[in-house]
Amino acid sequence: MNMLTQFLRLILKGLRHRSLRSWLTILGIVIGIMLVVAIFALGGGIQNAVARLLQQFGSDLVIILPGKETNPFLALAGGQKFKEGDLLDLNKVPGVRLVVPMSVAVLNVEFKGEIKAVMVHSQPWREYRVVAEESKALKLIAGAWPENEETRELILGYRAAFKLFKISPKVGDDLIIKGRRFRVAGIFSEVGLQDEDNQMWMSHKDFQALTSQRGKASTAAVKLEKDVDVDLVAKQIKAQLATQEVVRDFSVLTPEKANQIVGSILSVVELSLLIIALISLIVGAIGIMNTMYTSVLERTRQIGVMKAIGASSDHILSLFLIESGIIGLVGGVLGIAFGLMTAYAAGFAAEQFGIRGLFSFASLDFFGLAVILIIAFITGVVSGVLPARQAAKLEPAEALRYE
Amino acid sequence: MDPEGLTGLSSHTHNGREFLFCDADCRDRFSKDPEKFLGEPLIRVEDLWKKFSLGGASVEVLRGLSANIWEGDFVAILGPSGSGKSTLLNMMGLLDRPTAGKVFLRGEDISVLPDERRAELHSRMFGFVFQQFHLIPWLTAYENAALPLLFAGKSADSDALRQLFRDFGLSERMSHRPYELSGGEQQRVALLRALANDPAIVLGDEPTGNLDSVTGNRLLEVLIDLNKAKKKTLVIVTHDADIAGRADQIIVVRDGNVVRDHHRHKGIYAE
Repeated sequence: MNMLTQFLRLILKGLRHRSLRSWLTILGIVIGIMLVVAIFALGGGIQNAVARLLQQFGSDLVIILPGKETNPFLALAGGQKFKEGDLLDLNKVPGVRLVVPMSVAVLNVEFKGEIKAVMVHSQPWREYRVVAEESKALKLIAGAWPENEETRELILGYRAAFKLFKISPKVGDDLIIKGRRFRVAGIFSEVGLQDEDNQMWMSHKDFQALTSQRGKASTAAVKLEKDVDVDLVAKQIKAQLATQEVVRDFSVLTPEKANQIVGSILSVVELSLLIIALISLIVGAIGIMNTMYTSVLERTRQIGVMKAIGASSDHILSLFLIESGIIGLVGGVLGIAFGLMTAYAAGFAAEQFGIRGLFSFASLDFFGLAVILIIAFITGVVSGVLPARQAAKLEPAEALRYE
Repeated sequence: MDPEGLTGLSSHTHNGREFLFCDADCRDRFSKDPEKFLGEPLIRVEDLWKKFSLGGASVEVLRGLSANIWEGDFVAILGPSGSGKSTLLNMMGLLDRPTAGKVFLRGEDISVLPDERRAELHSRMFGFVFQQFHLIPWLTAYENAALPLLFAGKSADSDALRQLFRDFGLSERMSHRPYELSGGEQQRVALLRALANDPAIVLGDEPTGNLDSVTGNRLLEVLIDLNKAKKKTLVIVTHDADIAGRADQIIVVRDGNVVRDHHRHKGIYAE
C-alpha cells in the first residue's frame, strides 16, 4: 500500500467520523453544481424550443400586432382589434403577396359530453393554407383543408386532437362550440409547442359569427413576395397601417426583429440563472472553507501530534487538501447527478405541457460535464488551501498547547 | 566553568586530569564510564532562550539554559509549573524553535533544520509520549500506533508493531477506539505509537500525570525497561519524586534556567 492510499484511508475515516458535517459541506457544493448542470443541460433544449417558436413566424412573414414595438407580446392578451378591411388594404403594398387576418379566443368546446376550454384560432382558410404550408411547415396528418369559408369546419392541433379529450375526435366527428356543430376537417402534425399544438383552427367567417366580432381581427400575418427587401416592405406596411385610426399603437414584426426580442429575453434568463448558479457555487466554496477552517481549529492538537510523530508540513498540507478535494469531487459527482435529474424532471414536466425535447440524455455534452467536475474539484482544493496552509505551518508545540 | 567560590564539590581524577563535581552522585556516575561523558552528548542544548508573547506582554520562559543528555541515560526534568521544563523538552525534541541558542544532536546543530529534516528526525529519532495521550479518536488503537509508520513512508501493516502490542499486553485491544480503552491502556497505545519507528530517544511530558499511581507506576516500569533493556535514551518531564529518584540524571529547571545544586532542592519540587 503506498502513502497516498494510506492517506486516503485516514482521511475517509476522519470524514466518516464527522459525517453530518461532511455531508452538509458536500451539500453546499452539490446545490451549486446541480444548478449549473441543470441550466447547462436544459440550455440547448430551451434554445431548440425557441428556435421552433421562431420558425412559426416563418422567414418571409411579417406579423402585425397591436401594442408598442417594445413589448408586442404582452399587448396580444387584451389588446385592441384592427378592422379587417384595414388589414386587407395591406394587399396593396408592393411586395406583399397575401395578408392573413387572424384572431384568437378561448372558447368552450364539447365532445361526447366532455367540455374543454380551447384556444381557437381564426383565419381565412385559403390564405392561411399558403402561409402554413409554405412558411410554417405546418402539415395535415389527417383529413383535408376545408374548401369553403362557411362550412363550419375545424382543423385540430395535434394535442387538441389526441390529448385533450378522453376519446380522441377523428376526422368527420362533430365538436360543439357555443351550441353549434363543427366538423373536424383535419389534424395538424405536432409542432412541439404548447400553444400551437393545443389550438383549434376555424374559418374567419365562422369565428366572427360565433363571437359577433364582425369585420375585426387582432393580428395579421403578411406573406411577402420572393426576394423583396423585408425591411423596406415592413416600413411601407407601417406607413399604410398608420393611415387607419382604430389601433394607434401597433408593431410590425419582421423575422429578424422577432429573433432579436426572443433572443434577448432568452439571454437575460440564461444569464440570471447562471449568476444564481455561480453564487451558489461560491456559497458552496465558502462552506468548504468554513468547514476546513473549523476542522483545522478542531484538529489543531492532532496536527501537533501528527507533526510530533513525524508528519512534515507537506504531509499535513496534503491531508487537508485531499480532504477538501474529496469533498469537492463528491459534491461535484452528486451535483451532476442531481442536476441531470432536475433537468430530466423539468424536461418531463415540459413535455406534459406539450414542449418536447427540452432535455435528452443523447444530446448531453459529456466534455462539459467533465469540466464541471474538474471545477468542483478545484473549488474544493482552492477553498482548502488557506486553512490547510495555516494548519501546516504551525509549530507542533504551539499546536499541542491549543485549547 | 570556573569552580571558584563553589562549595561542596567532589573531585575525580581521570587520565591525569582532575574533574570537579557538584556532589558524590555525579562523581560516581562519571567514574563508571568516563569516556562516555568526555565525548559528545546525545543531545546538547546551549544557551537556549525562548520568549512567548502573550497578549502583548512577552514572557521569557527559557533564559540561556544549557544542558547535556548522554546516550542511554534516563533523565528526569523537574521544576515547578511554569519553570520552562516542558519548553525545554519541546526544544530537545524539535517540537518548538528556540528564540536564541542551539540544540545539538550528536554534535549536529538541529535547531535550524528545514521542515522535511525535522519531520524525519521526529519519525526516526524521537518518540513522544504526552500527558493527555493525544490519540486520534476515530482511529483504532492499532491505527493510532501505526501513524508514524505512515508518515515515515512505511506500510502501516507491521508485524513488529503487532508484536509490540502483544508485549504490552494490548493484543486484544488493537481494534478498539481510544474511548473504549482505559487511561493506562490509552497511554500504552501512545507509547507504542512513540516506539513504532524504533526511535533512539523517548521523550515524555508528564506521561504518568493523568494516570492513577498504580497505573502510573506500571507505565513507569515499562519506560524504565525500555531504557535498561532496549537502551533507549529516556527524557521525562515530571513532578513525581519517585520517577526522579530512579533517573540517572536529574535536571532541575527554575525560572528558565538549570538549578545546579538540585539535590538539596529535590524535596521542594516533588509535589
